[in-house]
Amino acid sequence: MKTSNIIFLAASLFLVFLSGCYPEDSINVPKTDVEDDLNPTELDQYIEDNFTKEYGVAIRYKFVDRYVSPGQRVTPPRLENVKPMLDFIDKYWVGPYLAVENGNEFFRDHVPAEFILLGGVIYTSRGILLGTADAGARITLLNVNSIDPEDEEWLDQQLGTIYHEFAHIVHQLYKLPTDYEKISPQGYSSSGSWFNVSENEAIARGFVSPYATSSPNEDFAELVAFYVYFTDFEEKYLTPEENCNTAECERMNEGKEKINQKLVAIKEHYLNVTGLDLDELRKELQKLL
Amino acid sequence: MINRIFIFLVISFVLTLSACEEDKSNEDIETVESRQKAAKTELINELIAPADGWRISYVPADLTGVYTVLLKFDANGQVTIQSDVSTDDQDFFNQTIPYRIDILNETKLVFETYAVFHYLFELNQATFGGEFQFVFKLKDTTNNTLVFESASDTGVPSVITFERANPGDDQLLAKDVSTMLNKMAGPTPFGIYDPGSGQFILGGEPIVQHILAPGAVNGEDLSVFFGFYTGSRIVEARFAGVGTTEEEVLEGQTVNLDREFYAYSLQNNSIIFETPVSFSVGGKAFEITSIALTDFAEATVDFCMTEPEDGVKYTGSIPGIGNITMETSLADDKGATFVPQADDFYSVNPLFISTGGNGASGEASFEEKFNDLGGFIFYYGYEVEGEPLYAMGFSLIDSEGNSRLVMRKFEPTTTVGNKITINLLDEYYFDKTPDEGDDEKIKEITDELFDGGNDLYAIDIPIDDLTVYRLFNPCNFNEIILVK
Repeated sequence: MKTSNIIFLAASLFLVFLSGCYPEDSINVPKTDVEDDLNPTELDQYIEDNFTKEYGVAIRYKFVDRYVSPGQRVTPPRLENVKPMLDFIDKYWVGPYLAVENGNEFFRDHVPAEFILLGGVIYTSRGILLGTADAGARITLLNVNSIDPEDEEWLDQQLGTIYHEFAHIVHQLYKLPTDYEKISPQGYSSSGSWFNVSENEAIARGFVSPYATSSPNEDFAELVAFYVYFTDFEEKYLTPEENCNTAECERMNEGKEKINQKLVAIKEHYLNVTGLDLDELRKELQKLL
Repeated sequence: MINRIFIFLVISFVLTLSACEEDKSNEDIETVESRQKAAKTELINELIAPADGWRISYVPADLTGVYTVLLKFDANGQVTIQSDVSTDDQDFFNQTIPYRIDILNETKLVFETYAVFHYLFELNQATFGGEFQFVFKLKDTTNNTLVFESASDTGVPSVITFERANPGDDQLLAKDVSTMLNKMAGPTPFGIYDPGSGQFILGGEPIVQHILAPGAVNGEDLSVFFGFYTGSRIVEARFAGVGTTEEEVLEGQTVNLDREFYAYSLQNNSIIFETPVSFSVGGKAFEITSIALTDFAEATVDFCMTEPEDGVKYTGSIPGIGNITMETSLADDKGATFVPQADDFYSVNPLFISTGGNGASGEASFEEKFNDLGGFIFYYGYEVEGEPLYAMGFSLIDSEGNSRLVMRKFEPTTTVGNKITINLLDEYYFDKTPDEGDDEKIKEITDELFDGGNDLYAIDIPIDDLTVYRLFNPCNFNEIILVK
């Protein structure tokens, strides 16, 4: 017997014995009528084909308590609302990105890995929570059980959440536009007090919403979202009042000018770092509204 | 060379075998995963075992009634849920949704998508006490039941017992009565919502039903007034008396039932009280253990004469009492004690006045007109020389502590039971020199309070050591809370 043959034989025996050390999974597992990995339903298959395989996004519609913070009380969606909600996401969020130049690449490269759908809203001491996002990896959409794209309030809530949370990914990866925080440095509210700021006061400070005053990052995300989905954006946030003759009116006009400066900076930033033209994105979404 | 290789291989072989030998000694110790899987399988097998599924008499919290739910689990992770909870689209009568067993620190049954449990969970801004995640505690072999606890209760968790269902148990689900009660309607106060805090600072009212039992009190009619919280299946016993109409009852001697709460369940065609409602009227003792509802008819709820609403009138019977009718009422025996008082006036913090028809406090809108707002003052037969008998408005207090009154006069036209009808006058009262436009401002505020109708229903708010009334306008749902 040649040396190489002996080594080969011995090595083979070694592997056979080694592999014999691992117990077969089935040996000690009790038999059951139910398997953990159940056959996917038609809905699960639809999600697999149209979101998971297509974009690498997992859609979670079955309730798991770790999807919300301890103490937050919220329900899962109605089963019959899940597919319409996915259609909504596809039409109003995926569609506009895919329709604009560089949007397809941007969307596929940056889309969060998980979408959580929840049926109700979360009540907090500061009001009602309508959506959240976690470090660009997960977007949680609430109030799915009230789905009605014809309802302007619901539509605004959902579009506001989706576009806001997706905008966070841009500053997380590519930072804020240069000197963005210096446009309205005095306008940011102190920690945890943004909800005491009125809508008009926010505009006067150079922000599109009270929540935007909470930090430069939220300011950025709110402004992107509002610009893209809010139909009357220019009229409400950019166009100055004519014949202004009160101090309050002048403050509002100054605030609008600051919003305009921020918007210009954001649009330029998007073009530079992502290749996306926010004007085009807005145009595509507005066609649907 | 061959010898060395051979020796090396033999040693390796022996070492390998010995390693296997050591593992073999641990074969009987199951892995965490396999033990979890076994526990999961065991519970699933228990859940799917009964041919007719499980029956639950579900009590979500201490202050709720009983909901009957039938569950039939299958091996594919689906559960069919039948219940006696009626909603407008009736989808909680029969639903099939996915379920899951989670095992981490505890074994938990999770109803994965929205169903009747989630509906109950969501009531009252998700504070009602319902649950859709149940922690498995034990299998009671004596009673053949499975015992679960509510997963998210912060205090003592609710216990939920799964009992084996019997064939035909679905016939026990009182769907007809549940549907009938779901149609109960009528103008009811919201309570007062403070937009500043985002909280209700005063709760609303149940839909009060006037239960009329003809001839039940020695030949005279018995009237009983119950407040129904149909969502939580609780009745608040209000008062009882002799008489056919509300006016007749309130004019006579009434028996106040202290607003005691009584939980109920629905079975067959009846509302079944967990404990009987007992009282005496006209010298005769009554005990209401259940109310059977046999039918209902559309009726007009006309508390707001200018804009009557659609409602229902039920017919049925009460064991030991006889046939009854039941319809919506705003009568309140203690509210009927809201009467003119000559030696003092009624008042309240403006926070406790709602405008806009949605319960929201009108304080902020009042402050837009009067930035030195003090209290809301209501003269109701106030006999002080130089001041009007009947007027409502504000005391205003400036930064130096000087106060003044801005009020609008009214005249009470009729008072029936706890209903007060008033006529606002275009006359104003100021105890000091008013600011320009004060009359216009108080006119706008009071016009809004009485927009659509000028009837107010006085309803008692039980608060220790205080006499507090809710003046409710059924035309616009505005409320004025007044302290005597």
